[in-house]
Amino acid sequence: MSNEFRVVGKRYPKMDAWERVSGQAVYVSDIYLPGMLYGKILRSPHPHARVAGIDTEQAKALPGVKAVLTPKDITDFNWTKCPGRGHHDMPILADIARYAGEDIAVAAAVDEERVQEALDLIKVEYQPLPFVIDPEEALKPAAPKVHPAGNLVGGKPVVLNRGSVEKGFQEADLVYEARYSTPLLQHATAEPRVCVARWERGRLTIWDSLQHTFGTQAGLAYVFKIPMSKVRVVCDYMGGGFGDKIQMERYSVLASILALKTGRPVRIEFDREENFLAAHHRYPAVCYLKYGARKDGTLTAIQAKVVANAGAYCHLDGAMGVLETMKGVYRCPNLKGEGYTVYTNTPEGGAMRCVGHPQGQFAQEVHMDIMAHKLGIDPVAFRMKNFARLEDGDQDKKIPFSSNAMEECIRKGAEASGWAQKWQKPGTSPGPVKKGLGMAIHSCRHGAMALPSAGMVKVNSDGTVNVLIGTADVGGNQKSTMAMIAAEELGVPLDVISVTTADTDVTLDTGSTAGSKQTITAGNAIKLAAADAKNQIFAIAAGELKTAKENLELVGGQIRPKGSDKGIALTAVLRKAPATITGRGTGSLLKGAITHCFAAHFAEVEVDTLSGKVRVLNIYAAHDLGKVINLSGAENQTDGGVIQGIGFGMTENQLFDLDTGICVNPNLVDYKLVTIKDIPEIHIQFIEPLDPGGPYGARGLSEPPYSVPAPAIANAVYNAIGVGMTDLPITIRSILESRNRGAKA
Amino acid sequence: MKPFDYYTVTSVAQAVSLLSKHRHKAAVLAGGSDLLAMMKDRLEGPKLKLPAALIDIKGIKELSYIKEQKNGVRIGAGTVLADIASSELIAKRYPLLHQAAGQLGVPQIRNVGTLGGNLCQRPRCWYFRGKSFANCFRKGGGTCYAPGGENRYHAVFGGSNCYIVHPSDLAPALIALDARVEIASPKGSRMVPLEKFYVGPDKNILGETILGPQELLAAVEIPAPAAASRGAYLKLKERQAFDFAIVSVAVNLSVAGGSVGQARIAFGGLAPVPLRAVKAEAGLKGKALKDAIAAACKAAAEGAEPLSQNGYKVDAARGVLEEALLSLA
Repeated sequence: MSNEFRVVGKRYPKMDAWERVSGQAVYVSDIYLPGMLYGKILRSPHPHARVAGIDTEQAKALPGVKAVLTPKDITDFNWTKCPGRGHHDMPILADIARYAGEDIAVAAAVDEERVQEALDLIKVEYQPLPFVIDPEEALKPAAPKVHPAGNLVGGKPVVLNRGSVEKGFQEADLVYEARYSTPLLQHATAEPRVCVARWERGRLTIWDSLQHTFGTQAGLAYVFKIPMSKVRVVCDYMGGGFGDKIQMERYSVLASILALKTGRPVRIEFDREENFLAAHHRYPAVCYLKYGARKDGTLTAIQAKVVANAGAYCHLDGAMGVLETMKGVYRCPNLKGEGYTVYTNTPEGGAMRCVGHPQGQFAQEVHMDIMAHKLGIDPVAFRMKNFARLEDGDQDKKIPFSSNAMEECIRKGAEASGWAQKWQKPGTSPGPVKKGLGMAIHSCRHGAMALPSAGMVKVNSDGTVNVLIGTADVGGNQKSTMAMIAAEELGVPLDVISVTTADTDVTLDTGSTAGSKQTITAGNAIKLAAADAKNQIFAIAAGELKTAKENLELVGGQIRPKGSDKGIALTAVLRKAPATITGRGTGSLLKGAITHCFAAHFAEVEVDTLSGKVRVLNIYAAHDLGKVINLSGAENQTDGGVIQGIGFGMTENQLFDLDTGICVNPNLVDYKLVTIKDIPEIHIQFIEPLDPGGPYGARGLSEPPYSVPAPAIANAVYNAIGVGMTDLPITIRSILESRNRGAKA
Repeated sequence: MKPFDYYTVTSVAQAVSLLSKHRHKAAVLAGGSDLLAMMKDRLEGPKLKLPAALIDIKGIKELSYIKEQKNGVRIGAGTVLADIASSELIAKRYPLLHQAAGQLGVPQIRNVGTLGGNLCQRPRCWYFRGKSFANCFRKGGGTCYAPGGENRYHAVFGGSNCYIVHPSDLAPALIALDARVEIASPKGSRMVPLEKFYVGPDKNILGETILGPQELLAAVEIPAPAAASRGAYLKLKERQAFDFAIVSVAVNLSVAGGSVGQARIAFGGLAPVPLRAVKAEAGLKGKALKDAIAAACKAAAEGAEPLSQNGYKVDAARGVLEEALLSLA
């Protein structure tokens, strides 16, 4: 199939790799403007406190300090229903701190030392209030209230119902219940949150490391009550997004207000600790699962209660994100879901590489493995029996998937891992150092926050091409993907293409670069824009060559009738164009089907039961992502997801001291990202059914590789030691405590 | 970072003279991987102040060497860790020290960090390191947050009022090797067994060593290995680089005629000081190693007083000791 394509499906290096590795790429954190001031946010040391008084006189008097703002200084600005943000319960500056690290005041000064000194001189009188950190505690009637309306977001749980779980449990030969938990996790982007804001003659330009430049444009226009044409948002290079930068945040508003008030450009850049304390994160979730299955392995009922820790403000419906995995990864006629998204006095929980799914899929996959064992069925066979088929799609609305190669993912992953030869029943590995093989699957919806996307392709008179797309290159190779699609469609070499991304003055809106959808939505837009441009060029050429434009092709810089070797040069045609050829296209997700990507991971581990140390030896990752656009990019994306997913499974865990409500590890020493020495061999396989909805049959890949390694590793550990791993991360402590529990049982 | 005075020195005499002038207000800067990070974090408490003066000893050439002498090997306190990790002499004579140095931090840390800095580093307890936990005993405050808090990495031995663990990899290794340290002061120098260099919170709540404000750690001396001696250093950590030990163990044994002669065992990560496992040592002496392992491991964990989350460290200590002894058997 791939022989049909000239560019698509091949390996190309990231087109801006050289700029990035040589230090020439200008990230937002590299932008320093003449006369620029440094803004910094004063943060609450208390998890919950009323600000009874705030004295900024001394700070304002410090030479070099140009502005100090408190909540009363910013009441003129629109904020309450600001577009481009999911929920509206967070103030710009708080007079009640709802978590330790919350924004209380902000200052701008001539350098970083001076602005820190200014913050040190602000006197805040805090009246500490009772606080709650644990979401299950927060649901109890006597718990301190984070917001006056109570701690349950929306006042009632989200409920899912399909068929009758009661009936499903009656039909079941095995009903199994357990509780699972996942920790609070950081994106740990190489580049923390950062923006530089500048006003010129009533027009705001902000360079902002954000995944959603157009949402920010709308948001800032709303805040300052100015037309959107007066706001320009730019994000050229980004040092990692992963959902941390999914929407406009208050630091961008504060920098813009400070710039307006001082008449000078203002930069706000979080330090690492601020990114831990005051940016959102993957929210912790507790899942109570009760599933029923027949002896033959058929699932008869899925019941899930999910408690998601929203933190102090609601970024999104966290519990629903988790429940989506129970809803759709497996086919089951009977489903009951109950989701509680709960306010606590911790930083805001929110989007991170696949919202909610990794939390839910960890729970579900460990649950499935233990059930397989109890039923005496091989875990691979148990998945094969139950995974959601092509026709299952949305099982409630009866909408099929657009395409689905889960079966092949499971089969090929199992083959690669040597499952048939190596897998043994849980807990049967002999000796103190035990081997284990485990698996997990995932199917993940594309198109969170999907909006119609528009793209432009400009063909210059010399035959080179500018691709203009609103997508941010968040590190997922988006620039190369768009360039390859344009090159394929136009019939030009890849190296004549330049890509401009995420600039609201120059490009068109493609929604947030999130939800693994840009290859589909923006990719379709660019494919159609390129086709439009080519059509215009061929219309001119058709006149010259006295043939129908449908009969033409562009090969090696020549436009010629198909099959003929006589044509005219592209540049000659372009000279005859009445104006620069500009193609436009709009893209969206396929209607009448739901678009998922599918994956099965297999993990091989070694568990040293004397010391508790787990070594991951191999990960076999099989992914269905539709047609691969850039093979190198897809492999990189998979490697990166697996590596980050191992951190989710084994080392990462942001912790809060329950007595004080303060985070104990807001740094990269104590919050442990995995290192190169922890990374096993990652064996990747791509399965490429041509999807009817994506450009050249492509879908997306950004999120899924993250979601599957943790449950696959958990199940490999279960396989090795015979004790199910119900809580992440799987540490030395969890192994030794499980070993002792297992010994007693 | 708050402003400070900065002095460069080229001799130990200059260094200790400046130290005796500035006393508690000064700090010694070598690699700076710990000190500068604490200063950047503006870590302060009732009795923990940011240094007003830094005395940079990187220019003291006489502090950087590894040399063989009649009764063993002497290493200058200013020797960078990478040099210890790559020293053929150390690898040959003291394999367990070689193993400890090679597992420490990451190459970037080993390239700047020094022997003296590693032995004198401050604890990693997140309450001590956390700005918001200002009332911590070790910062001169009135409480320890660990017993009622997040204590999965804290001490299971010798805590009492403060539950830090000693983070050094080299200290347990050198204690197992029976090393001594040379401490320089304006009045001259003294030699102290490394084991006695460290003091628990019952003796000193504000520091981890006996080093006075006018004193400088100058060198470490390791006695020549006993005949038929063998050693191992095992470090248990959550990730394989850039991590401190949950438990580390250094074992130095001599085995003759099928039975254990001398035995020295020291743990890192278990107690506020590098911890000698005296009972385990006694359990090995005079016995065939293989037969004595189980009892020694059991003895090593005796007297542990785990907190709410760190009981697993006792099991982990037994486990790594068992693995270390099995590797030598």
